[in-house]
Amino acid sequence: MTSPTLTIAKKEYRDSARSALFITLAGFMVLLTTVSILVASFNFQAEVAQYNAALSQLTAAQRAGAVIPPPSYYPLLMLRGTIEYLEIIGAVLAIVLGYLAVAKEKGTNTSRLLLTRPVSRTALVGGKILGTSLLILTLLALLEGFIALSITAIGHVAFSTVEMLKLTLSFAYTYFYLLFFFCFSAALTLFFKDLPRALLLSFALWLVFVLIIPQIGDTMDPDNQVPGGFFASMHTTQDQQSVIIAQFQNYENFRNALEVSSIEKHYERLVFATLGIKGMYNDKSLSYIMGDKWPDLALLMALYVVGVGAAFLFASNKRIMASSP
Amino acid sequence: MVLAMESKQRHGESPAIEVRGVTHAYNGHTVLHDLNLSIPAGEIFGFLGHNGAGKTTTMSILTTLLRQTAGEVKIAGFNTLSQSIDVRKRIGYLPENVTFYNDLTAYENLAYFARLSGVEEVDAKIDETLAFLDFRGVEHKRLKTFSKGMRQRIGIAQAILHNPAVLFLDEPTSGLDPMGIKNLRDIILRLNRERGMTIFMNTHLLSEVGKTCTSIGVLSMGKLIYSDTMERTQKKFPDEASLEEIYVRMETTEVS
Amino acid sequence: MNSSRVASPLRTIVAHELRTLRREGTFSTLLGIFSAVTLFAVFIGWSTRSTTLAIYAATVATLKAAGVSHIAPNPLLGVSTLAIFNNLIIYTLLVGALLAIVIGHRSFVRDRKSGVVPLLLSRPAGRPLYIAGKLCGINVALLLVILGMFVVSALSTLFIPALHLSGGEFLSLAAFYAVSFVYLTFFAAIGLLFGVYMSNESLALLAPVLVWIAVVFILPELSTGQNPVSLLNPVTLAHAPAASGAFFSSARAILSPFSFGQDYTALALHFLRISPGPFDIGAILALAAAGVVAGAACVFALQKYSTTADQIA
Repeated sequence: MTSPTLTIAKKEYRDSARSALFITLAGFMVLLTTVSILVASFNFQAEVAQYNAALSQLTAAQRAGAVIPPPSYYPLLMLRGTIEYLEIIGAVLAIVLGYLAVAKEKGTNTSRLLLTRPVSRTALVGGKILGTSLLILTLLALLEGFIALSITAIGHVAFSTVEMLKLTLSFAYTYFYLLFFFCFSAALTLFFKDLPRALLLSFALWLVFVLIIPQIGDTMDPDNQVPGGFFASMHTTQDQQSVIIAQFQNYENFRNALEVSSIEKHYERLVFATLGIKGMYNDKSLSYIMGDKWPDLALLMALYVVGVGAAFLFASNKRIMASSP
Repeated sequence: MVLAMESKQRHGESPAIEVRGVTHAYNGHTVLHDLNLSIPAGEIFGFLGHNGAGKTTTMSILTTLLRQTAGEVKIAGFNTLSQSIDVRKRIGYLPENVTFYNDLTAYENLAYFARLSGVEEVDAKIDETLAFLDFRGVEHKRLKTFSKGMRQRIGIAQAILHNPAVLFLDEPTSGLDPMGIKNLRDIILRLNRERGMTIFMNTHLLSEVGKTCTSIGVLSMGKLIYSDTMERTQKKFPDEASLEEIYVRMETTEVS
Repeated sequence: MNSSRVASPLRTIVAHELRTLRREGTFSTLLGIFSAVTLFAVFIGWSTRSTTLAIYAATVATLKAAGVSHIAPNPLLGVSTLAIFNNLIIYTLLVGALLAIVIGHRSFVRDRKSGVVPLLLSRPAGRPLYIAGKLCGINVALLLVILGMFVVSALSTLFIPALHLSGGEFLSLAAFYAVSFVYLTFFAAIGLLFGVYMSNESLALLAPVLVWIAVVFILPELSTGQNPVSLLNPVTLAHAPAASGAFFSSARAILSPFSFGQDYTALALHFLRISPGPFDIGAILALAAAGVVAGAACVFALQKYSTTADQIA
């Protein structure tokens, strides 16, 4: 006998995997990945062309002794754009999915029927979350396969085992990140009786936690306020700059505090370190990266638990049955 | 087959509803086959048929919502395709299972449709209509607090506010309790008697047809298999005790 | 409400749309979100600017102490006060568009779910007028929200002396909001368009969101070669060099007519006086045309809309 949770999860998974919605989403994520990998490869090509031009100039100038380092190719670095898309767009899509998961059931006769079956509410909500988790994992697995194939095709170099492991780990983190947004918007949609209001608020919170706060380091950086950089235009030395910045430690702390309050920042730091997109972690072992980045992972997990918890908390019979046309 | 109900047709007046050779195909699948009907003004016409027979499609064509693939429809003498605006001015319509705008009050819902139907003196008309329906006092309540029966009355009010010549009701009794059904029947009879409205209703509630309608048509698999006045129908089938039995016999033998 | 004469159907539909938005609480939610976002952007802009000014003073002191005689003038003097609003560009570009999509989407889906679409279409007003009324209603609501944002920003510049704007800058700010409004109308229209066109509610919401992703991320990425996150910084955007290579230049040539996300950003950067470039009349035409085309497409979609198809589906 299968548990009711599994029955619901299976049904949720089967329903969604066959739906036009899932197929559209999967197709679109593949498109985004293709675009970002293409752009990365063309950027790299431009870099190589520039290098070759510089090299031939040097040769023409008969300065054969001069050495400029050739651009080095790291396949995982090609994924920066893809990860950024998962960060921004993945979160929006997870929000839309979470909203729709509740909106399609809320106040319908089917949900009334479900609630009269001898199934606990925990099993019901758990089943839905499990089903969606499987769906997101399927989508991520498809995407990872696609990435491995296309990067191999473009660069003519297959991923090494370690690289593949790093990629898989990054996608596992992505699952936690996306499910947080799914649960979060599902919880909001359960909480508010008015469906459009729930969706508007989900998008607004996405704006705050995915766009505003993580970008604050950039947008509030005094050096960024002047084209070409503030300090560069003042002709200060590096030492003088540090002395001056030290006087504004409170501002810097405030900026940093805002930044770390966003789940996206932790996800980004974790994945950028794992994939080596953040330069200092390039070619480092997984255990080294883990040793450094475990607080980000812990926070990501904690927020995931909070998201899932909120979905359970708000899924009361009253809220599920509240009709809202 | 042309099945005119000449008995009620008034001299020199075009029929309220005239359907000639209407065929409709949807996604390569023909859902209406060569439909012909002529309903004189002042009738209460019951359109019968099982689920999926094509009743709602027919009503959509008659109310200008859907363009038929072939054939011609005239309502109060106006062509539904070339004179659709004139048709719309003369019809009232209540779709099945309509819930209206929950966040608006009954008055606001009615005023919206009244204005869209070109009603002058909106307030007075709403007042008059609610009085006619014996439904005053709820104007300023939001629809989300209304029961199914109350919503249905708002639906009827909306459909008759502009005093249309022809009223289309799609399964109007669906979901109503016995008291609601009786009230609705009274309203339909009064609209017909006091305001001279022609009423065309889709239904599968045979007992109601017997009590309300003056003529009937039976649609089966997109074909009109029977159409005549109530009176003659009862004479034609003297052996059958109820309309239900007549209906079953028609569906199984395709009598015409 | 006194209604002694026949109201024009257009006005009736517009008024109805606005009333429904207000009753549902959608309008107040929108106004609240946008005002909060504006205040937040002003706060970020102001605190960054005043910190940078303080840093300039500290830099001058440090340089003087080091015996430097020639100190560069404050580089911020060359940056208009309007630049403190720069984050609003991204907020409008992204979340403004999403919210406009939700409003457009709901507008038709609400009618469909309450079963009144057949009823409305059987009224003498006709389908094009029904769409026109809806679009006008939605746009009036968006305009009011944008006006709210303008009022919030105008008030904040009046109350914070450091943010004083000249008359010309004030007009420029108004122009920025006008352009933002035009940009949002496009997304409201495609929200409505897919709401009408697709009977599956989920797809009807997802499809315009995908268009949004294409307009604000994919097209700019293909033509500039910038990563998605770099596309989120208005200052970077204003000064980013165009990506080199045959791929990017041909992508730019092919995609430029559809890149109205970039058109909006360029206009906004111009009016907030962040980008030094001249005013691009083509960009504003492209933006307005996008909105009109999307609106016209809604009318076309509703012509094709079949009430029975809805019931069969």
